[in-house]
Amino acid sequence: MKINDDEGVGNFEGSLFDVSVLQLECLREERDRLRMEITQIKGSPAWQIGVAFDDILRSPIRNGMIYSVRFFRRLLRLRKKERNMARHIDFSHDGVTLAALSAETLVFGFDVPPGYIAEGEIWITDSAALMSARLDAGGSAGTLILRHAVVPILQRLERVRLAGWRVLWWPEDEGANEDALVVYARSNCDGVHAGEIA
Amino acid sequence: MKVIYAYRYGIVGGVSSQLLLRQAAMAEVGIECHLFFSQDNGLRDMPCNGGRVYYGCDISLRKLVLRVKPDVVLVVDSPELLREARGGFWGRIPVFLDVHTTTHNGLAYLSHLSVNMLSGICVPTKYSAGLVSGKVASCAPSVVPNLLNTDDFFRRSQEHMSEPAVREFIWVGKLDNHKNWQLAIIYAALAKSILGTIRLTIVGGFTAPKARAKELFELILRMDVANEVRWIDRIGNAELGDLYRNCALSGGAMLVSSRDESFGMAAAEALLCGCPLIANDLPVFREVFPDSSQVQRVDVWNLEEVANAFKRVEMGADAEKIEQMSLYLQKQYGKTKFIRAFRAAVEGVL
Repeated sequence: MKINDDEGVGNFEGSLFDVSVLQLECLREERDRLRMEITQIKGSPAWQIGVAFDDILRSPIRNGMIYSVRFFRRLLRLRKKERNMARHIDFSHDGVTLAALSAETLVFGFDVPPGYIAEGEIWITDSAALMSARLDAGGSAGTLILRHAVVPILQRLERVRLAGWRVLWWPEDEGANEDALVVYARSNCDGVHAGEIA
Repeated sequence: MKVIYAYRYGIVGGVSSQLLLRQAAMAEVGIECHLFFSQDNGLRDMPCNGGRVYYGCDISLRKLVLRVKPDVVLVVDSPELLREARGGFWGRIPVFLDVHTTTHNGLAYLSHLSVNMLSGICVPTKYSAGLVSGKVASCAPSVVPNLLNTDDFFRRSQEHMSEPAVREFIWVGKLDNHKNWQLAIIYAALAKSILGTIRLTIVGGFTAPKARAKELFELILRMDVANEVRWIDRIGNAELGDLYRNCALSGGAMLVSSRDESFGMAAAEALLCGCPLIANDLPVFREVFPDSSQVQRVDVWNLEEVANAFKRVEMGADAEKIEQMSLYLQKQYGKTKFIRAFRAAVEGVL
């Protein structure tokens, strides 16, 4: 429980200032995002239709419109039902094959890293959706090799590690840009590149 | 008695998990409780209490009401379900609204609500009751407190645990703006500058949009905490309990940066595991949690206050204080109190 003496109190105050600036930036970004959201919503066809309906419902021809409103309500209910069914499909694991479930090594990328010797069966895909579905399906843990970094896989990285998976970061393109996703993958995998344990 | 709880989001955690807890508690006293979720946002994959959980993609609420013939239906923050909750034209079912949201946008629907179709309104805290009364003056809400999960969240003897190598902190919630999720990462940087090596686990955000998740990774890079921060998008209660206990043992804490909460379930569960809080000073926390060194109330926008709180978190905090807090929470938010409050709220109209 100390302010690092080597770095001194000045550094601590400096970091507080940096953090304050970042806090402000975060709030400003959020404000701008919300403003943009409002502008988008107000410009959307749904909003315009709503405004038009509101005008009509306040006018004397309101009664004549009641049947149309009922019709649109039914239409909306039908659309909602369809959307709910679509959502359900998003979260199912139907796309996971038996081969994917039984493989001991999963590779997320275009090919298996050169020189990698697997102990059991290998399942490989470059589809983030398929790999996400496989990881969400559970089953016995093995080795997961990430050859590129994408959001849906990285958000599952710690969850699968907690479930016992050993995750290796083995990029296809070693000279690739060090963006936020790559840095996170490299920092949080069990091993980097040739399997050296971090 | 037969009851249906209806809610829009079948999500892991939050209100959905609370409903599962209530269902189990009701079963113990012979109340048959069915849960209806309009959407399945991942809850279907989680083990539930022996069934009686339904999703909108399989059955409509109206059909479920007609099939189950409940004594009462409680609709949680989903006004679009209120009409369907009444069942058929003949033999209308009493419908209660259960308000768990506290955000300005979340509560906006109350202003357009036709209160005369409701038999009553329930809320989890007096704080929420105040918010709801401000919107719906004609109906006094009944406080039905949340239930805590003491099966998964409890203290464990330190003898059975190996001491973590670094001080562990934890932040739990959806990656929503009202949770101030960005502050979690900013505070990881702050804790690192004060305490040296630390680890912050962010838990939640399974349903976060891809763009939001990308923002999280970008902020981690920007704050230079890629080695300190890990994100677990979804977790089981048993594993979450272990994380809280690890935090407690390592001399860490749970960070709560929310702008608002209706109860603070995750914070209460952390306390049950002996994990202290560094929490935004919200009115609801003053109602739910007693004064204790286990709860450091701070203004989350005042960095100096937060920095001082980090410095005050103790290694091996007073076991007696931890025990007192745990016993208080178990007593105040246990099954007995919940069932008593629930019966008092609904039985008047049956």
